[in-house]
This record gives sequence, C-alpha cells and structure tokens, in this order.
Amino acid sequence: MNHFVNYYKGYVKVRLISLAPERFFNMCSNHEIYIWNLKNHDDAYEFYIYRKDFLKLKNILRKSKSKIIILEKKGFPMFLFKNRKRKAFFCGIVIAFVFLTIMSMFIWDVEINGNVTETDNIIFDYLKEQSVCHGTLKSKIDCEKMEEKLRARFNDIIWASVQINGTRLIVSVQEGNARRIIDKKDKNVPMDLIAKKDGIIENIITRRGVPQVTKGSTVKKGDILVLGRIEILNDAKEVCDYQYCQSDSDIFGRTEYTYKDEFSLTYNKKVYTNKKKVSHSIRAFDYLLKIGAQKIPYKHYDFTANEKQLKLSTNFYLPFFLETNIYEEYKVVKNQYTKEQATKIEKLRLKRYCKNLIEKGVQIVENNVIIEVNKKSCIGNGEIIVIEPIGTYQETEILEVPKNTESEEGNLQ
Amino acid sequence: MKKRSINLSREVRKVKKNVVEGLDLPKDIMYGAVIVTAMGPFEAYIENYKGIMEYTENKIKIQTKNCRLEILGKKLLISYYTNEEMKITGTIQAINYEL
Repeated sequence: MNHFVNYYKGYVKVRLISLAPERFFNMCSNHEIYIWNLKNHDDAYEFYIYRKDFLKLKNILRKSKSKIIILEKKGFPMFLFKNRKRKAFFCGIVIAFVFLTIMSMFIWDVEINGNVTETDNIIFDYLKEQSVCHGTLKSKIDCEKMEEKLRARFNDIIWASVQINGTRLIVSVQEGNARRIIDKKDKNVPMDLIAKKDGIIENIITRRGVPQVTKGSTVKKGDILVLGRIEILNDAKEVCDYQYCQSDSDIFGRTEYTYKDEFSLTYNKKVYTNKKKVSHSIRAFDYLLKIGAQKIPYKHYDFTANEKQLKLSTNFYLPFFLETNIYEEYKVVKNQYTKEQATKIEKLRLKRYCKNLIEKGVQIVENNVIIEVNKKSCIGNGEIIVIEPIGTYQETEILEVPKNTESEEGNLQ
Repeated sequence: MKKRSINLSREVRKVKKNVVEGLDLPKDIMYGAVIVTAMGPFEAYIENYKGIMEYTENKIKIQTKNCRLEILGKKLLISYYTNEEMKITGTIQAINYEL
C-alpha cells in the first residue's frame, strides 16, 4: 500500500553534501517534509523525498548551506512526464475509460429467477416486447412499472421484482401456488359456470349462484352448472324480477381421457464413432466471428453449443460471447426392440402422460390402458378416468323481466 | 531572591510529580519524556524528540526535551524521519542517555 502511494505521488532519491546535515534534517522535520531511507556515506547523505517536498527544499538548502544532487526519479508523475510525447498511449487510456462508461450504460445480461410454469423464454419475449432486453439503456428502464406490467400480464405471477445490478437486469418472480384455472373477469359482469367437458359431477360446492346439477348428474360440454341469474318469485310463485351475480363454485367432475400411443419396434440407434470436431466463434451483437475451418465432414452428428458471456466483474457483463461448438459424429444402425423392452418403454410413456395430468391438478381414479405388442409396433390404448375441475365461466344471459300486472300490484301493496 | 526562586521551582516540580503520580497521568506527555521502542538489535522507534544532533553510520545522537539520546551501532539507517517519530534500522549495539 505504501509503495503504491509513493509511486502515485512520485519521489526522488537525492544525495546531500553539507557541512551541517543535522541542521538540514531538523529543518526538514520542522517544515513537515517527510524523508525516508536516510543513509550515511562518509560525508554525504542519501535519502528519498517526495517530488512535491523536493520543490520546497530551496530555502532550507540555502540556510543550511548544502548542496543536493538528484540520483533517481521514480513514480507516476515522472512516468507521465517521460512519456508525454506518446499521444496514442494517452488516447488509448482515454478511449478505454470512455468505452467502459458507455458499456456500463446498457443492459447486457438478463437473468430470470423463480419462474416454474412460465418459461424463461415467455417472460423474456414479453420483456422484449416492452423493449427491455439486451442493449437497452439502463436509464430507460422503469423497474417499478415493469414489475406492475409483469404482474398484469401473467396471472400466475403474484410477486415480481425487477432490479438493475451493474449491467445486469435481474427479474425475480413468485408464482402463486393456488392455480387460477379460470380467469376472474370483471366482477360486475354476471357469470354462469358451464361444463368444459362431458362427465359426471363428483362434487359441487356453490358459494354464489344457483346450482343446476347435483352430485351424480351427467353433464355434456356446454351445459350450465351454476346459474348466475337468481329468480325472485312473488307470492303467486311467479317470476317478478331477476338478480344477477357472478357464480362462484368448486365443481369436480369425473371425466375420461382417451389414451392412444403407438411406436414402431424398429428404431435408429446412434453409434458414436468417437470422432469429434470443435469450432470456436466470438459473437458481438448480431455479428459472428468464426475461428478456424467451419466445414463439417460428417453425415450424422450431434451438435452441442456452449455460450459464455464475457464479464468484467460479477455484475458488469459485456455484450461479447464466446461460443464453442462441438460436433460428434455417429453412425445410424437399425435396431429392433424386444417385446419386454417395448412394454417397458410404453409403460414409461404412459407414466409420463399421467404425471403431466397430475401436474395440471387432475386426480386419476382409474387407468384402463392396455399395452399390446405386435410384429411391427407397440400400442398403448385405453381410457384414463380422472376427477378434475370441470367448470368454466360464461356470461349470463340477461332475460327481460316478465310483465305481470298482478305482481306489480302486489309490490305496490 | 535567587535562592527563593530556585526553591519555588523545586516546589513546583515536586507538586507536579505528586499530581502526575497521584492521578496516574501519562508520563511521556507530562514530562516530555522520550519514548524508545527497540525491537531486538535491528530496529528502534523513537518518539518525543526535538531533533538530530549528529548522524553517522555508527552513531546517532538525538536531542530530546530532558536529555540526549545516543544510539551506537553499525550501518545505522534512518528509515523515516518526521516531526513526531523516527525509525532506525541497522545493528544497534548500545542506547545511551546523557542526562
């Protein structure tokens, strides 16, 4: 540290020839002139002194009748003075600083955290739509507004944070655990709940509206399950008025999914030849600089691309990417599954299908899929019976109030 | 008259000594005593001095408020020298006080 300060300030090594060197040193210390590494050689003294202090020595030298000789000049100011004629060098330093400042004004990396159901790409595309992406001026981004927009655009996102850190934009979101299967509309518009699928009602809990079905009813797609129009009857049990509301109900129905899956027993197997080709390239904005030969001598190959963004520090990303592409050759060999293998694969595929269903919030009750293997292919066929939320919103039809003189009179009374 | 003033200054000194010792005040500030911190025979820090009286390779003589300090050794070098503090390196053989 001390060395660095000394270098920055600039210092000189001098030789002092004096009859009264002690007087000189005492005067130096009285004038708060810092000297170090003082050495005695016979009648001469050598020491180091800061460049600034050296200029103050004139008076002291005259008073103590001493002579001084500069032996060495060291430090940054001396370096600048020595190189004052090298214009390109100074230009380089200035350009480097300008480059850094300009680069630090833009966003060069976007990080999206916390999303599960909405993929990075969907959110990124939306950000791009709002012109918040790589190369956007940092000053143009209004983080708070962006947070609001994200929440408004994606229903699942219940919390969002947009943060600029260096040249990095960090988008953190939190998705709601309670799935909103049906989009809630404007509360003032009356709504019915209708069946979105054929099925049997398994369970119905109505909070608002008039239920039209009971447990065990068979419904078809489009049937009204809960009506958002409540009839108001007079004493004569005639409809005299309607009240409208937005239906609210949990309705689960037993529905059927038809599963059909078929795949051929013959398949192409990849046999790697262990031949490999690696190519590198540098990407900046839309420009790509390829390094080395680019022709790929293989007919079939696997292609792996690695992209690495250059950065100055954790949060200072630069718009330059290093790309490494790896091509691995393989040969295609025709192969055939055995019966056991095919059944196993089909079971896995069915399992994956069921898992997807469960992830959607569906409860599987029965699984009647039969797996068959014939000479050419393997077929999985059957029905999966599930219990799932069956309701979806539809606007309530608004009826005219039937004109009935009797009821009007009744009201007046 | 003169005898009386000597007596007075002696009295003052005595009072001062009692106060300093009674209140446990730092002696270097109250008496202006020199502080010598020696680290083995290679290094010495000196504080509370007035100036250098003599400096050669084998001998450094320093004037302090109450006494003179003499450092004897070989290849003595003043690493730094400011108004408050100085550091001496080299081979120190003796530290003498001339009261």
